[in-house]
Amino acid sequence: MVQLSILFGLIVIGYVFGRIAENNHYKSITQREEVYLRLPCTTNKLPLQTERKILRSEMVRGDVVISVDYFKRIVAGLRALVGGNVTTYETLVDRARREAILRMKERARGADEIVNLRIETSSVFKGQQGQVGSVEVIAYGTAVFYRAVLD
Amino acid sequence: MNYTPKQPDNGVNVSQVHPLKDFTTLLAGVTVFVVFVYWVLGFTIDIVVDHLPDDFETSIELVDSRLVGMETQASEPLQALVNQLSKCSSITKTPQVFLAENPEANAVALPNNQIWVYQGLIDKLETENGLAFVLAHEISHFQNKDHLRAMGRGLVLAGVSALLLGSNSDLTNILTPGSIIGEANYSQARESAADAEALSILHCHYDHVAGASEFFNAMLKEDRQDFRDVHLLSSHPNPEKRVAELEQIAEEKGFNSLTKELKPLPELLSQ
Repeated sequence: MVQLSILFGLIVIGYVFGRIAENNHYKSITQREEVYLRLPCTTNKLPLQTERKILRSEMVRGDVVISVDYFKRIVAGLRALVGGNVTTYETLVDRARREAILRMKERARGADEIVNLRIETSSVFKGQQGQVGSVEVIAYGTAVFYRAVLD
Repeated sequence: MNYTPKQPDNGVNVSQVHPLKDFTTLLAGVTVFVVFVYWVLGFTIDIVVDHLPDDFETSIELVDSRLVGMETQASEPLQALVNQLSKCSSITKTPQVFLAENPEANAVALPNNQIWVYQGLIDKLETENGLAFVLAHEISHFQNKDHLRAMGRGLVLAGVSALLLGSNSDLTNILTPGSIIGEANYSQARESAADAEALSILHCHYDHVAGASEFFNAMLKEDRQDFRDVHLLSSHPNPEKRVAELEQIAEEKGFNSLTKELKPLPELLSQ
């Protein structure tokens, strides 16, 4: 009984705090995405404005690690028994990818656009028993700075 | 090329299922499954145990008093009582009875045809009739092979959880209540059955069943909280219910439970 109450305590803590953190994170993500909407970011190899002269380009990257909470882990564990979409991890990965792109854009301050965007995901604590895992996402691309148009 | 800046769409990559709904559905579903598997395997064990030869358990030696850190000793007055009571039951081999140095008020039927009576139980009793009921109850467990059933179920539970959940102890913990409720339900039914048979043994031996509920009444008097705890989860029915059941059975079978001729405890034990 004691073990069970501890377990449910952990699940409740995981759920409440995980939920609060997630909501706050999504709020911040949408706000910042609005701000950085003016900086085009594509997976193209070449810049969008081919007619303009490029002043310089540099590689920019954004990196983020987000932890799974206890609640998500238990739900995923139950899900692993029966199969299907692990919906509790979807928000986690979604947040991490969007956050990584935002950090990359923040790093590319002053750039006119970012090309060749790549995203990579890996899991920290992978395969370790009894560890609450974390997801790591890195987004990188080439920030392009055009020469100012003088006419 | 035309580039249109656009906010990422929330709805595509993230399922709009409430996490709590996901959790409850999964937990309920998996629990039902575990209970079902457990029930089927438990049922199979019952069938297997019913078909085991009588001398099967003498070949298992799982219990050793040294392992549980309890001093046990043979007790003549207890053995004499068990010998007499066994004649009133259908078991072929008389169990060996031991007195265990333990302040807890309990008695257990163990594999290898042994009954352990804890000193704490003797201390609670004043009459031989009360003691005889407890011993007859344990004898009935042997008659019904309940100890083998319990052992089999314990092994199955461990096996199923190891197979299904591996070493994921959190999942094991979260799915345990389902199997415990099932197990408690089953165990309470076996205890009630043993109580009923013990009453018949008592009637056969003393020609009355007075004093049968002495132990339960003593426990009730103590009003111990752990006896009144969640009965859904406990392995034995609560003492009040057992006393009531005993009275009902005595009435149905026409056993005399009113006589005052109760024998005192054998002298060696009451000291």
